[in-house]
Amino acid sequence: MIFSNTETYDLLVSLVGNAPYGILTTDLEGGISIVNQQFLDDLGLENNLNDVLESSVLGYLNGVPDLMKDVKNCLGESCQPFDRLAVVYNGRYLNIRGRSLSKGIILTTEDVTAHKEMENFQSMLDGQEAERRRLATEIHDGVGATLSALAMNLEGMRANIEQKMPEMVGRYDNARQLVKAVNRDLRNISHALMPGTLIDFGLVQAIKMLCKTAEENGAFKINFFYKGLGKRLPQNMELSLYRITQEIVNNAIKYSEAETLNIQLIRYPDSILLMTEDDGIGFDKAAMEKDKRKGIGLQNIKTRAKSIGGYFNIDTQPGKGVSTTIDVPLIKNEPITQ
Amino acid sequence: MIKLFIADDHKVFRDGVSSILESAEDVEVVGEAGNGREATDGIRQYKPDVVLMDISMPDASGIDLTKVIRKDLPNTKVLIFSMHHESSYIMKALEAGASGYLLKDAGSTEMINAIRTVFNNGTYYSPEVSGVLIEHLTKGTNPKDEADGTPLTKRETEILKLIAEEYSNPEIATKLFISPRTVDTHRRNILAKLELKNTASLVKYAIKNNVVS
Repeated sequence: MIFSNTETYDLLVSLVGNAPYGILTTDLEGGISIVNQQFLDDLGLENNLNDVLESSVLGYLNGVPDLMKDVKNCLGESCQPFDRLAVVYNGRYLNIRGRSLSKGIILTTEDVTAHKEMENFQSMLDGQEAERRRLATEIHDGVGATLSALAMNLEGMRANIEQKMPEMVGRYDNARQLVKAVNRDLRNISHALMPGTLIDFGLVQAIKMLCKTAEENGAFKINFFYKGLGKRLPQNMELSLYRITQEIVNNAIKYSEAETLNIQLIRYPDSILLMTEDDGIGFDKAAMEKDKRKGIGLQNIKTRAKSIGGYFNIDTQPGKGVSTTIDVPLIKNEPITQ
Repeated sequence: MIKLFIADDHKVFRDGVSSILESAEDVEVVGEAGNGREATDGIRQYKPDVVLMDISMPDASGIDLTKVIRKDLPNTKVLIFSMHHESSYIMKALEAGASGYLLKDAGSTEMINAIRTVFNNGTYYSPEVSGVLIEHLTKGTNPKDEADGTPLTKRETEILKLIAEEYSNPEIATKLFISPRTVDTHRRNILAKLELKNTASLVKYAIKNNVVS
């Protein structure tokens, strides 16, 4: 026992036991002097805490040769510290670190699964948005430009056709209308993929367009209220809030049977608040959350909100409409791009 | 003779326009450019009467170019020729000094008409663009206008009434089948909308506006 003072020892044990990390210390030979439950749990070891004490740490690392090697190096004469970041054990992401102490070493584990999963989700989103942007540009610039040239060429032929083949004029006009329709569809697809308005003019203008399109499709009346948004927000926040609004509007169109949808976007000094309310048929929230397939839209909104540090809440009951709140805290000195 | 310059990053499109304009005897294409830099140089060199201007070019926005041209060459008119039909683009283009706004699904007749109109000191907007403009002007999209003009929503009025009747957040939540947090959010929004500071002023407002008796 390397601790002479019981009080100090008790304090240390309680400290280690309640620390939000896995902690293990050893003597110079690798004999375990202190360990907490978190450490054993993180490494998936089912041993009893007290049984582990004083046995060699290396005995528990047979299944993980890489970590074994690092621990040996740390114990060795070179006292090599190590950081193994976001390594996978038992399906969890762990940060495992080793440092030498005056008479031994300390190992810590930290479960970073939630953080890592959010990171993965974020990069998946980023990839998806980049792909959408690429597709939108390709449609807009490639097919779109050719179609415009085609429309113009067709138009130039009309006088000739009228003179020489009057019986074809009807079919000609029909063809011209079809080209216009394709052009319009393409424009809408490209816009849904990546709204130019959002990139060039920001969230408020983009949501206005979204509302206009939804209203034109005869869905319901949308009131959009916004305040305090004279300045642009960071790009990923604008994009996420736009996608969330898009998802909410689309869900409302598909399922709500509402007559009115209110969308409010308010910038407070310390947060951005997006709130929507419809007066439709609502739904059974608990049942929806259980149903993996149907609940996916909700889950998407939740995760998106989380990815920008926001909080998502939905209130609904059959017959009571749906209201959603997305509250995104703003970090004070976060640069706001103009 | 109308001297025309085409600025558009798609060659297929510029070629299409040029070939159509061969039939228009009063229009001569004096130059063309596929990006902003070439366009600026070319326009300064040829001093065209009318520029047919795309908005989205790889290195520049046609709207910004329009501003520059109107300042440098006041006699050169800009006719925007774009796929963008959203009011933001249209308004920005007009603010920048464009004399017209043509959508890219316009036919050749419409395009030639637009070029002539703009050349003769007129303005030209595609029918769809006019529609957007009229809607924009009649609705008014100044953020401040909407903030001042928008009354509380039905739900907000309901909540304001309950607040004024001295119900607590949890009580209001139970009554309206929503969570206390949502009630709190509503309360915050109502304060922000009405530019009030606290519950006391909310109650005063409710009484003054006959939300409660």
